[in-house]
Amino acid sequence: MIQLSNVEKSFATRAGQTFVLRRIGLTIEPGEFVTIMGPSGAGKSTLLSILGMLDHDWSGEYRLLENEVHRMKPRERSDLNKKYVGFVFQQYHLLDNLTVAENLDIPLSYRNVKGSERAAIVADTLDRFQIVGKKDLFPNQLSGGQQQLVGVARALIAKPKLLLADEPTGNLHSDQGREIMRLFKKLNEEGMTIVQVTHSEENATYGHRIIRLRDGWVVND
Amino acid sequence: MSALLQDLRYAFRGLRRSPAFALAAVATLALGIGANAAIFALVDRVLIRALPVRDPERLVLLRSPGPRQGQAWDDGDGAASFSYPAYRALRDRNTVLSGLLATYPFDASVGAGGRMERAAGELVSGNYFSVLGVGASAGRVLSASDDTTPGAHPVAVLSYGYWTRRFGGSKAILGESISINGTPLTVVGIAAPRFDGVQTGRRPDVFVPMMMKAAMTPRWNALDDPKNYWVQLIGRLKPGVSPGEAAASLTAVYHPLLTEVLPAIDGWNDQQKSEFLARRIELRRGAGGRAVMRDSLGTPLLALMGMVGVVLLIACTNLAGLLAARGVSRQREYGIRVALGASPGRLVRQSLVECLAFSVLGGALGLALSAWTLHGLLSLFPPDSDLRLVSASVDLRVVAFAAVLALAAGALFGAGPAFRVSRLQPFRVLRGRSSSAGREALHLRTGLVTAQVALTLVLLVAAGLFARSLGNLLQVSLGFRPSGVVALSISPDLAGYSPEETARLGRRLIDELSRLPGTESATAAAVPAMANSNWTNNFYTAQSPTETVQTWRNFVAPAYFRTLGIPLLAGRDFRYEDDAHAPRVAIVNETFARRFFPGRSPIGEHVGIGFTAAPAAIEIVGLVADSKGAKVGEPAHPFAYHPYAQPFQADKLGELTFYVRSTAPAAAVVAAAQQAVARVDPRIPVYDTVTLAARVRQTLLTDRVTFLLSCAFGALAALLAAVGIYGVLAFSVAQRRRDIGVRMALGADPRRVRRMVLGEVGRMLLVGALLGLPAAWAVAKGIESILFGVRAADAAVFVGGAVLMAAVALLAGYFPARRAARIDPIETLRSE
Repeated sequence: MIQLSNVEKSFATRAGQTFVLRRIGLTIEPGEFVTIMGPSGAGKSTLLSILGMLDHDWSGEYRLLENEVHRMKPRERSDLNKKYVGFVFQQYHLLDNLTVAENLDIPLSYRNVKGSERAAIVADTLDRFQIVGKKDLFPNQLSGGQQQLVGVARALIAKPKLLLADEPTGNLHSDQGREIMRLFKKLNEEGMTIVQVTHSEENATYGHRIIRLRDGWVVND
Repeated sequence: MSALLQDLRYAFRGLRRSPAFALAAVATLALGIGANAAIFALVDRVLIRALPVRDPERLVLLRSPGPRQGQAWDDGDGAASFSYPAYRALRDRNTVLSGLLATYPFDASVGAGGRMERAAGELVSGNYFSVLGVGASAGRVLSASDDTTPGAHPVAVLSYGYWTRRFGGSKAILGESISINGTPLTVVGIAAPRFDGVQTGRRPDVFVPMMMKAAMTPRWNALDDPKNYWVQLIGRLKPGVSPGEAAASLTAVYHPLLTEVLPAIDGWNDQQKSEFLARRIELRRGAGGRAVMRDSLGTPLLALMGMVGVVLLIACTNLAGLLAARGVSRQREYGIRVALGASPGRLVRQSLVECLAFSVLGGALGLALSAWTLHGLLSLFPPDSDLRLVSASVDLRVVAFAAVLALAAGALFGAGPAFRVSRLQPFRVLRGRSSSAGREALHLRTGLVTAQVALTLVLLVAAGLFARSLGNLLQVSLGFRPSGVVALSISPDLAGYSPEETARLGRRLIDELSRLPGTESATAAAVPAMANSNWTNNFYTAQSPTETVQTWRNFVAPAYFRTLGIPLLAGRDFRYEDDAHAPRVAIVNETFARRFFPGRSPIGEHVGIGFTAAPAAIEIVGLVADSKGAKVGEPAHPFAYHPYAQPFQADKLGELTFYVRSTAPAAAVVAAAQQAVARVDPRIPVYDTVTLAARVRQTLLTDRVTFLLSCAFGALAALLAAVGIYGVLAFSVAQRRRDIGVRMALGADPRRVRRMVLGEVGRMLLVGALLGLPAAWAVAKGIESILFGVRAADAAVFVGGAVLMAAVALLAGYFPARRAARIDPIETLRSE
């Protein structure tokens, strides 16, 4: 599903070129649940954002489902992101001014799904994640766990093939964290490819494979 | 579309959730748009709007500048009046116009239902309505057959407004007879509802055929006089004819007419004659009708429009600054949206839609403000003033203007945030990394506020120049004492009085007014003082009969100088014995004496008047101090006063303005005077009842209003700039809180921190002044022509404007500077 070859990211400083990622090469098959781990500053989140095509400033080769991402323009990458990728963030990143239902609606609206269709999909998703009762609440009226649940629902609503999660339980207490991880596990068992970044060894046990980064290098796969 | 509505819905919700920000932004925009819409309502009526006639773009106004001899009627553009014989020839012989109409305004004393009332009359050629393409709303309009034989067409058409006002919109008036200036005329029709004549600010009440001229203006006829210039002409170009071709063709028709008149001209040398024969016909665009008000108010109105435009620009820069700061706090939100699949275009659209929400709210509130502002502005003017008569209101055109302005403003202040959104780096933002957005926003806001300082400086200098101009006008010595004097006018000629009867009536009324309780003195004059009207002729002396000087004239009753408080410096006042049977006498002012008799007394000298072509037989019997005649800002003119009972043939006495100096309240004097006139002759309406002091104030009204508005706009701009400066410094201090904390921890004392923050104000001021002062000078050059006694490069005004701007800026910067100086370094560093 994903093939990275010689991917590097750096930026210029007065001291010279500073590398964030060095010669990253890896392959992720469909249906894998991969955990990226490493100390702070190792380049984990940068790698995740390159996989999600939120970061365009890198070199090397990146293939996603036969699409040569490295040859694409930013707009084409954005289209690819919309088609295949869902994101879950550590800080949930729900839009404060929108209700739960409207937060779920946003990704569909960005994919030009018709209004009536959107309403049906949102209703299904609310039902599936058992948050129908919360649909008219604003994010600040939800607990952290509930917010992350909405975050995951929002990431999945456009039916992505790849779910990217950046420290998805970082802001949750352990019970809520486990609940989210069980949800991930279930999604993976249903066929979803998942790549998560985490510091938690416990969370890593939910996946099949751990990639460890240090100073921008893959040190263990 | 649904996505757009969704964006709009979320935008309004966002505003509700940030009420302080929304209020500040909407109020700022509303002030800017409101002021613009109010001034635009006037500009539209006076300068832009076309007449409500058929195909107004094909209308042209005729002018013929150059020397001429004889009598001329002038309402602002002397070159626009023609003799009636010239009109007839141009109408009948031209090949380039599908029609040429003539018009002349006159004062009408309208009698109907047993009540006399003064109204605005318009003598019009028979083709007036057909050339304009204006129909009747009831009955019929005048046609060519209503205007063929002098005195033979006693018919009239009422304007729609007058018909509803005076006759309650009753069609029973059709076919009925009304009396106009003593002549019975049959009302044959009512003009179309929206038609208010061909001159903005002058609304005719009755239209009368030109052939009824002698009856409507009893003192003079001039239908056959080629040396009497009084009709204004408006033509309609034939299809396919350009104004240039038409002017050339009309000039070719006009030349033989000039040649025909030449033998009747006396006393001109060859050069004057060749200049007379070289006169051409010029055409001006006529879609907006006659340009009298455009010419007199165009520059002040455009100056005010420019000023409010700058205010709006300042408001937009403030909004752009506010949005830049808000954009920084919304980076995370935009980052999330990108991560969820929003394309840059979609984000830009959302950002613009949010600005549109401001525009819609600001525009709507601005319109409400503009209606209120316009009402307040117009209420400063008397009900019968030109500006009130243009009926400016917040109509659909103003609404459309405000809408366009609001959208343009929205695009202007929304462009920056949209551009920044399109360059967003979601990855950095979502990771909570410090981005350069805050720094960029600060630079942008500093630039915007510097621009505000420059623009505000321009407005402050303009306001300062208008203030100086008004100050100079208020310091002008009038040469008379207006306080305690009441003025009122009558037109006995319109009730059929001969000049001699008018003179006798004048004396009788003066006697009546003198007997009123509280009256110190009473008098009358032919030309009202401070009414922007004058009467001029060329004068010469017995010693130099060929050397003529244009001189202002008036016909006055005894005690005129005493009543108005004009000092009599030598000789005597007029007496009632100075009548048509006595030797001709005159009283002159100091400028006249200096011009004609330098270094010696004019008393006992003799002068003559150009058009009489008679020996200089008028003896000067008195010398009075110079005084203002038509308006406060006029230069000192040579002035000659004649006894009102001693008119020349061409100077027939028609209107009279009475002056009463009294200790009684003005209202009581007016009421008593009206009763006195009614007792003598109830057919004569009294009009223009006003204290002389009020009339002086009225002559300065345009200057006062320009001053008031320019000060208001300057103050508004300064307030907006102050808000902008405060905002940018508060933002800067918040952004640099840690930096300031470190500096203080390292030993910077509060005074140094305050100085550092105020230094930013100094830099903005310096750059703003470098940009603003040259711009202000350019604006000053543009408005110099409407200033009184002030040069464009008035150093005091420029320095004053800069000092005021500096004071405002330092005051606005003081509070953020004080807050910066009170930062607790320990607290700040701990929170980091």
